[in-house]
Amino acid sequence: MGGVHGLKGRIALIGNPNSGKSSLFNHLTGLRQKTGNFPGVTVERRSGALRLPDGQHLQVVDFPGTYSLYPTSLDERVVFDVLSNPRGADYPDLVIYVADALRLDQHLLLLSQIRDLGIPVILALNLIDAAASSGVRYDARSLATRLGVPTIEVNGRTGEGTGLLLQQVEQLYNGVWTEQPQGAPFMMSPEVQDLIRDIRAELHWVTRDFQALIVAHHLEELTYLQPDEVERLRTIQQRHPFRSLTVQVEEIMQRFRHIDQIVREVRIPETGDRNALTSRVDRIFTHVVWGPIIFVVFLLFIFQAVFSWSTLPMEWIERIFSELGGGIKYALGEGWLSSLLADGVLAGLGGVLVFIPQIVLLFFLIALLEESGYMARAVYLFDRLMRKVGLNGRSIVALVSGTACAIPAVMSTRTITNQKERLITILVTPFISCSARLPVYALLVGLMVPAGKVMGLVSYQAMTFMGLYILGAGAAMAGAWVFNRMLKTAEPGYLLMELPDYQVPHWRNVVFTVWSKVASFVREAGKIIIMISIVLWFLASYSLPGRMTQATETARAEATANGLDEADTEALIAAYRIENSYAGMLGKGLEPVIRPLGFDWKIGIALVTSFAAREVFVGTMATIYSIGSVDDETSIRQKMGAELNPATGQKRYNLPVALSLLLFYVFAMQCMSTIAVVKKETGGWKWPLIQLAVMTGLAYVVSLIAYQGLTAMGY
Amino acid sequence: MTTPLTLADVRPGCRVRITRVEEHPSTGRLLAMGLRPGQIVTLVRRTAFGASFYIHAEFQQFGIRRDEAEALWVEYMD
Repeated sequence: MGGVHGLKGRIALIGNPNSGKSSLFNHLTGLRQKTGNFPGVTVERRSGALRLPDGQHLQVVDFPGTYSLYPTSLDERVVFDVLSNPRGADYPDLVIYVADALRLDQHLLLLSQIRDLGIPVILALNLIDAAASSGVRYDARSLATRLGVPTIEVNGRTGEGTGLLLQQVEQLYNGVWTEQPQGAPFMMSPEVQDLIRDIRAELHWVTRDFQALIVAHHLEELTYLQPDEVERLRTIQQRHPFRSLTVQVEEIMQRFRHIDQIVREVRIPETGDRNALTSRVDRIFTHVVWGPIIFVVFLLFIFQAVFSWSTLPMEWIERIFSELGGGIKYALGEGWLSSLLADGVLAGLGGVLVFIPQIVLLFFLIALLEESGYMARAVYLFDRLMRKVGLNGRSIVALVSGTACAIPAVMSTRTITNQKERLITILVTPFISCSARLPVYALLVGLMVPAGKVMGLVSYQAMTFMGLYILGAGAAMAGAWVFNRMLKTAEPGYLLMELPDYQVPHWRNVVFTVWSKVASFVREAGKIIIMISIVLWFLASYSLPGRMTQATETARAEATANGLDEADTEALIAAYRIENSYAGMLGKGLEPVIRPLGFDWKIGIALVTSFAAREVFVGTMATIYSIGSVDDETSIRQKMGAELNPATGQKRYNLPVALSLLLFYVFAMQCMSTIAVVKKETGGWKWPLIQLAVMTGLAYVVSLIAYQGLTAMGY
Repeated sequence: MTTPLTLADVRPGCRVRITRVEEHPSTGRLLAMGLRPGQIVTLVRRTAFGASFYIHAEFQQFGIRRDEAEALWVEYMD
């Protein structure tokens, strides 16, 4: 690649939001694409290989949708940073600019700015047939002449025109295009011209007046300038007083006057009726009363689907992995290697893959809502409500998805462009009671709450469940409120967004979205999850030299003394082994810390192991209480319920202990996968660790108050 | 001339022409999205308590907040 006249073989795909850019990207690159982040920010960077008719491969990067080179969000900032820095690594040799033919005037603004930066650009005029059915048509040839930019008509949905586009890319890449735009899109005032002249004298790499103007506008934010350059430029700016916003507005207005004139000239007059579907549907979907109700119905449906449709495939995955583990143990025999592979690596891998059905379902449904254009309506409807606690209209999607699983929910926050609102959403989503808390709730609620019904209607247990969910949601809202007060942001918040016309979701885009989410989850979070599982496996299977052997012998002796059968003996051995393992030592070491909450060392062990995932709590309790079958929830409950506290002679799992434990699981961040995914989404360990500390701290305090309070009241 | 009013003061269902865009953190964005002087817009509906506005402007719809609507000075069409 890239040998030709110093070119790097790099193409940027740029356009306004909703210009059909991503669809075109999928058509251009097919499956040859990669998803990552732009350096230093968590803005998604999709890149892929594009093959020219002559066989050359170029790299094409799909940039976030942007309205102009005056960025108002981190997404837009990325585009600006790349395009304004000719010395940067991502600076493109060529831009494919996608514009929606229906809104040509608006979309030509950014094109005219890019043109003035001197980057070779091709205009891909998108959705020609949608425009034509609305009575809007253009003479592409005269548009190309007027703009001085090669123009290709494409259809992002069908991929029509991509062949011609690639031919044009090849020609432009090889330097075949010499037309200049007709007429200047804007003129700077004499004062600004003086400033520009001085800046160009200072920065040798600036070859265009407009580049210099952009530097003047964004001087304080350009990370790629040297400190001494910034210092000298500041002095220049002091000589030439410059009101950025006024100059910006003047520039945009001039450009639009120029563009309006071009669009009037190349527009082929025709009459036609506008697609009225959108306004009819929106009469109900954005209705002041029906709108929110319909949204809640959609969410309930998504929640139900993610919750119930995933059960079966999740069971399959779990079964496959337990079979595989059994197979390994059978093939290798007992030993550290087979245990490491089966109980450490495979269990960890299973722990990663078991989330895939939920991730696939959630993102499939969310992609449908996004692609159809509905999501923008939800944001419009809930913007105010969410903004009150520092969230964004889009946060509501994450919060509701969180009732199924925090992992896809955290990943879904990528659609929130304001980074502070996104961060807060990520931080509070794990407070929402997810499906992994259910087994723990079921065990403890059964232990704590009698089976009766309130007035014969709703059971006490069901009401307790509901209370736990409400508690989690309340914690999320309160947490958002607090984080919103603590975090500072330079980004102005805004709603101002397009409500695109409704359209039938395109399967290609839906499939690509789901695929890239799943792939990035497995790749990024998977590594951490497997690592932590191996550590936990080690802690639960090993101990100080000799201790495990001794524990096994003690257990065996006790089993023989009591005449236990083989299964019960195995269970007793397992119980003794986990008690004496490093995890058991950790649990016992934790006891002084958790005793004020009413927890003993057994719960301590379960807290350690269930850090892998909350539902592991039940399995660990089963092992500790030496119950052979993990699935036998009733017998665990009976054993736990029957246990007496030697100090008081009363039941160990009395109301204060059970409630304290329940509350702990409502609030605590007992989930390594969530931590892994938050680390991936926030780009570092800082936020997941803060989140872990805050959630665990809160859980501790709440449990402490509940246990001590209830005990003091004599329960 | 009628009394000056902003898009936030307009009744739902009315068509107005934008006369001026006031300076506001979102000014650049408003202009770049095509909400600029001369543009004719219809205020279609509002969310509860007039927090957000659904507006229509030539081939597209927008959702905007009250303070953004207040930056758009408008006049009624005849």
